[in-house]
Amino acid sequence: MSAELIETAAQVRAAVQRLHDRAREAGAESTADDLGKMLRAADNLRGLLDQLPERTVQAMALQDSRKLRHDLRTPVNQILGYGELLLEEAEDESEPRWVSELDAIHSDTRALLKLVDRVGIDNDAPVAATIRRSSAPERAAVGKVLGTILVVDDNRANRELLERRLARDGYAAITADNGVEALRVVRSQRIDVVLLDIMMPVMDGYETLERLKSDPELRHLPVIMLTSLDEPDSITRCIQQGAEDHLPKPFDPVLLRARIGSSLEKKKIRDLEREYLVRIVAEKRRADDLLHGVIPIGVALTAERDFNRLLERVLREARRFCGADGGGLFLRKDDDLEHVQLQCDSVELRPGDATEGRGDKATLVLRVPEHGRLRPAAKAALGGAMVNLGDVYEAEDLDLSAVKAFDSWHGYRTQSLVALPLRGAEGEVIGVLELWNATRATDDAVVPFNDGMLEVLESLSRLAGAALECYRRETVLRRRIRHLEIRVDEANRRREVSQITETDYFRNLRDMAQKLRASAKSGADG
Amino acid sequence: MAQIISIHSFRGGTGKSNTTANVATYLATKGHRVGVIDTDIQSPGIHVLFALDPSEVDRALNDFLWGRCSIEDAAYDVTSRLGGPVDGQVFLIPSSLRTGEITRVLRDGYDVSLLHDGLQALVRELRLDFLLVDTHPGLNEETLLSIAISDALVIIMRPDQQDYQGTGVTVEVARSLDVPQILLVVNKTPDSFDHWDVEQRVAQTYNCEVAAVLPHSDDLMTLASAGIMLMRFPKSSLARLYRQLGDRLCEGL
Repeated sequence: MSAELIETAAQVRAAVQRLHDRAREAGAESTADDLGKMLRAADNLRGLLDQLPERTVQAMALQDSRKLRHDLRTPVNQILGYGELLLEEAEDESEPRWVSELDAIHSDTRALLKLVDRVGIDNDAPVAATIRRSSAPERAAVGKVLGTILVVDDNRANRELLERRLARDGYAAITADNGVEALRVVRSQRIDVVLLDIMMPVMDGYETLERLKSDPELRHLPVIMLTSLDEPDSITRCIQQGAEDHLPKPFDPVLLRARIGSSLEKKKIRDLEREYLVRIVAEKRRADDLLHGVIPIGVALTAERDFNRLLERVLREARRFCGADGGGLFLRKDDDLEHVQLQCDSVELRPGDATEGRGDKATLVLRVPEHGRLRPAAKAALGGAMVNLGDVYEAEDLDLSAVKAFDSWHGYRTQSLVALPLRGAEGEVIGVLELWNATRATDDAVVPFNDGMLEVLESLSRLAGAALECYRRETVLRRRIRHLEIRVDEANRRREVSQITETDYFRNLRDMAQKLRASAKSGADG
Repeated sequence: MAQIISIHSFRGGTGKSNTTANVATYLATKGHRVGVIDTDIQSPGIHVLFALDPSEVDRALNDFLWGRCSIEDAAYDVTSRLGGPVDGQVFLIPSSLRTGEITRVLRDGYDVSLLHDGLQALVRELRLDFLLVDTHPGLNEETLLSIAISDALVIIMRPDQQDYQGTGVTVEVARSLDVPQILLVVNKTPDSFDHWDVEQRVAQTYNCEVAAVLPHSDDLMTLASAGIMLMRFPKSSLARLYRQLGDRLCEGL
């Protein structure tokens, strides 16, 4: 076995040396460089093989035997990997050179790998590679990066080989030479798949995998373990620890692409799932906001007995939900909109303050003027729909005279503005809630009213409309109660009276009463 | 000349006995001799307000009507039970609280003209300034008799649709009997009503003077059933309104 191994290794090295020399002579520098790397790998192998007799004896324990095969396999895999790359590149060229030589080297190196896989295993047939080398690989579309792959291997040549292979297949590759470095990389940038070697210094593949899978932020990242064909226990262990897949060395290009593609696909699905989960969580938060924030306010509004306080509170709560700097409340009265509330933190408005354009006494007539442009509140009331403006000054189809007069008067700048109709029990518009200059909580910057704010505002405006309607109805009812309504059926009354007065008993009674009174009167007069 | 005043209502539960007891007490505080006769033989109750225990009642209006005693023998001086000193006197002629006596009235009836004689005798024998007749609700022979011989009729009503029609009938019947003074009292009026508005509307509807609009108060009603409101809570709004009603009745003297 050892003799055959040494002989085959020498044969491969000689073939690589010959081709290297020819490439140099032909001025094919790039090919010569790769052949140089293959030559260095062959030299490493020779150095290891020189120690083979002693190490084979020592490798009685299973672990030692595996370590020995791992050490021998590493240079063989490098020769195979560079050889395959060169072969593929040669086949891509218009005038392929040295294809038959590279094919022969590839074939001999495969045979060499089989011999390496049998070192230290008595009477055991090596696990043979079953995957045939691919034909020309599919090239990725130019300029399109299919994903970012992190290659973690302590062997520089392996890293370089995989980096080139991945780049060729259209992936962006990042490398790390141990587990610690790999964890730093995955925490600092977006990685789609990790190719992880097992035997490494500092932190080996098992521990790295364990740490990745125990981190809630990283556990969804697919990890493909780089394994040897004779390590079924390791594969099982890695899969149990959560590895997505494994890739046997030497890397078969087809298998590499297939497993990375599969992992990327799974990651896409997982990313989608996580994205949906984030959206569900956000939706739940919004629902909670409604349940725990808006609804209690709605209940409190309904219980408010002081009308002015009710109006003030509707506006204040609406502003609080979206950080609006200012706002106004209009109530519909026949064909007018009466401005009943005005608040603005920046200009420190108080109820009753005279304010140009948006003053408390200002009334909007609800009809389209000759110039055709409506104020935002009037448009919301007449259209029965929300008016949302990112920058009110850009709304050319609206009458902004009041907004501009207010801004000019106070040295203010109204930007974002939303006007929401308030509806009564029958769905009729009973008022308008107008808010302006929503602010971002983090830096108080003025921002447009976003979907989240609008959703909450719409809920709040419905509750506010109900509270106002409730108050109005109660007021009418109270007014009605205060005025007693007495209904007497006159015809019935007359009939009932006559049934009593037209009896003999009653007539006698009346006579007697008259006599009594006459007698009493005469007694008193006398 | 004594005044006979009937306190009447078309329906039960209007606060008739409470009004009678409080007005009688008020008149006594003004130094008058006042008689109160419970002609609600079927469901007597005013004795409770004067703290007269049924065991103390050995003669009642029923005994007079069956010829067992004279009417003045059935009169109880309850002045000391009013809850405070008064210058005048209050005599109560209760109806019998014995179930058998009540059943007999319901079954056999009685000679209503006797009641007339009794009232006259009472005024005379007890030298009364006022005789208040706490009547049975509704209009039957004895209530018509009470109304007929009264110098003043106080009709108690509640601001309730069930009372409006019957009150209208009672007012009209009393007018037919030429009762000299007819006063309406609206009792148990909810706070949500504007009391002045109630007074105006009732007066306009029945074309009749409204002497008082008394408020409804669960607390006051609970306290009132335990005694004479006027004496226990003289500063309450209800006591003030009872005095107002009493004063209006005195004007008829």
